[in-house]
Order: sequence, then structure tokens, then C-alpha cells
Amino acid sequence: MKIIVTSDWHLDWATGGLPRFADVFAAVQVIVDAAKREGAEMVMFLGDLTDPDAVRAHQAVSVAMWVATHLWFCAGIATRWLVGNHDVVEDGSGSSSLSAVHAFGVALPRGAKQGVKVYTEPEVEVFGNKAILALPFTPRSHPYDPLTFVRSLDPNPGGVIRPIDLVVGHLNIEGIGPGSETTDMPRGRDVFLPVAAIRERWPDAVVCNGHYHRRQVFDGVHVPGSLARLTFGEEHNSPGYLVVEV
Amino acid sequence: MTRKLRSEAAAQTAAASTAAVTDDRSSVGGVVGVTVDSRLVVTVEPSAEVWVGGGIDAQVARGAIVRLIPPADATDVLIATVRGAFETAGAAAVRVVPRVAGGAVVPRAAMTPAASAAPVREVVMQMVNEARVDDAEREQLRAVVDEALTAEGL
Repeated sequence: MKIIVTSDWHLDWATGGLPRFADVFAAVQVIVDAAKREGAEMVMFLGDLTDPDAVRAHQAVSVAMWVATHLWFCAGIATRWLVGNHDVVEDGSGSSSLSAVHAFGVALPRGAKQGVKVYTEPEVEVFGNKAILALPFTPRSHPYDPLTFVRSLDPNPGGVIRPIDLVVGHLNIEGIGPGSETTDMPRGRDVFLPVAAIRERWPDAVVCNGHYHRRQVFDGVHVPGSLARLTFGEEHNSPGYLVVEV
Repeated sequence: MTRKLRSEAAAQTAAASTAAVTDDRSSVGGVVGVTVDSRLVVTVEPSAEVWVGGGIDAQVARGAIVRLIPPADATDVLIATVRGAFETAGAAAVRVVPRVAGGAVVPRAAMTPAASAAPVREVVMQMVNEARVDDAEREQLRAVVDEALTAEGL
């Protein structure tokens, strides 16, 4: 199964006073075109669509809705949306800037529900014959411990651990060099991706994580990075996306 | 929908979007990374040649978001000139941040020479000349002072 993985759109952001909506939206269209051209079955967004209280948040949500509807209804490509630290609304409701997309996915008719889904909580989803472990950002109002969750997937003693093909997260990675997502755009708290526990259980799983704006591979974790150079600290980044086969 | 979003985007910035796929693929562990063309973000450091009369790279400036960090001694006119050069070259936005802070103490090399001072002998002899004594005593005083100054090498 081919999946296009992208992250950290931050459609509300402005750099040096210049709103970046147009830039990022153009890059999102490149992603949509790539998904169709590559024959992908899914586009996976790894979090940070927009700050929910940003002036341009409504435009960011409209882009996400357009991507989800266009890909599903025009190309039959499913989308998955992971809640990032910038997306969460810390009002105790558990809502996020992806709530509209979530509602849309839930409202899809039976038989089409696999088209759109938002990962608001940790979960394992079986899509086709592939298992996806999703570890979204853990807000203070609805916290979970990623390591405990990963360990909870262990079977009873002597049993077989459920195979996972793809792990996606929007968490911190131990030891990775912090970038502008930490220095210029901090939000929320640090909760770490349990890389060792994941590797121990599913050594062959592809692990992808959002949050970091520089595209890189760190400790075996694939980071797609953001779609644009969003701050002056990202001058040397090469924005883009990932094509993952699982 | 796309058209509406595009028009909103266009209304926000006159700068054209530059995103396109470049044929820059790298594969690690079977995962392929694809680069998307993205607007340049450029910082002009205080040490850049543009602050001492050097030219700017128009190709880099075109469509870029530029941050100017002027050196401590940059004048307002120089900053305006450099800013204007980037804007003329087509920069999408130019942001000027405060000059880098200069040194709190004037560096020794940059100090102006200390004010000239009269030689000690000249000052002392002037005092002898102005002493309220008669001429005979003044001559005696001059001899004693002269001897003392000479002994001190002055």
C-alpha cells in the first residue's frame, strides 16, 4: 500500500509579516496531485494544521476539508489526520482544529467511512490488510501515556503481538536536535515517542512522526517536515513529503 | 472550492506561489523523500558584504522573505538603501531587525588619541614664574626646581 505522508502545514503562519497561506496551499495542491499521480491509497497528515485560535484558522480548516473531500470523492484516496500540538484546543472539550474534518469523516455513509478519519486518541486501525498505530499529540485535558499504550498492545503471555505495519505520531523524539518548532513556535508540552518499545515489538514497522519541521530520518524515525520554510530558522530546510510503501 | 481558496490566497499576497515538485528524491529504508519547491527565507547577517557596498543576488532575492540584521554602525540611510535594493529585486517581504548591539566600551584600537598635555617641566616652570616671590628668590627657586627635574629626567 502506497501512502503519501505530510505534516506541519501551519496554514495560519506568517513569516516576517508575510502570510504563508498561499505558499502552503500551493504545496498542498502538489501533494494532492502527487497522491493521484503516484496511485496512492492514502494521504497521511501528521499534525499541526493550524493553531485553532489563529485569525486564519478557518481558511486552514477549509483547505483540510477540500483535501479530504477532493481526494476521497474524486480519486478514491483516503485521508488520515493526526492531531498535533498546535491543533488541540485546551478547553477540556477534546476538540481541535481538525474537528470539522473529524465530523465529516464520522458523517460519511456506511461503506465509505474508511475515506476520512481523524486520530484524536491513540488507536490501531486496520486499513485493508495493513495495521496502523496512531499516536497523536496528548493534550493536558485528554492525556495518555504513549509508552503505556504501546505496551497495552502486548498480548497475553505466550500470545502473538498484533503486527503493526506503520506507526504514525506527533510526539517528541528523544535526542533529536530541536528546530524552529521548539525555538520559534513552541506550543504544548513534551511527550516522547516510545521508539525503543515500538522497535522491540514491531522491528519491521515504518515509523513516521510529525512535529519537526526539518525533513530527516532520526533514530530510524522518518520525519516528513513542514511544507514550507516557515521561520528564519528554517532557511536551510528542504520542505517536502514522503512516499511510504507498507 | 479550489478556485475560492485560490482567490483567498491571492488576496493575501501578491507574490506568486512557487510550489512545484522538483525531481529530488532520496530513499531511506524504502521511504522516499520528495522535495517541494518553497519560497526562500533569507537572513542578511551583519557581516554580509551588502553592508559595505556589495551587491545583492537578485535571483535569491526574487520572491524571498528577507530578514536584515544591520551591523552596529549601519546608518539609517544605509539600512533604507539595502532594504530598497531587496524590494526592487522582488523580495516578497523585507523585515529589518534592530542593529546588533555595539560594544559597551570603546575598543582600544578605535579610541581617539588622548588630548595633548604640556610637558611636566613646562608646567612646573610656569608655576615658578607665577610664584609670588621677588626676582632673586625666583632665580633660586628656578635653580632648585631645574636641578630636581633634571634629576628625575624631566
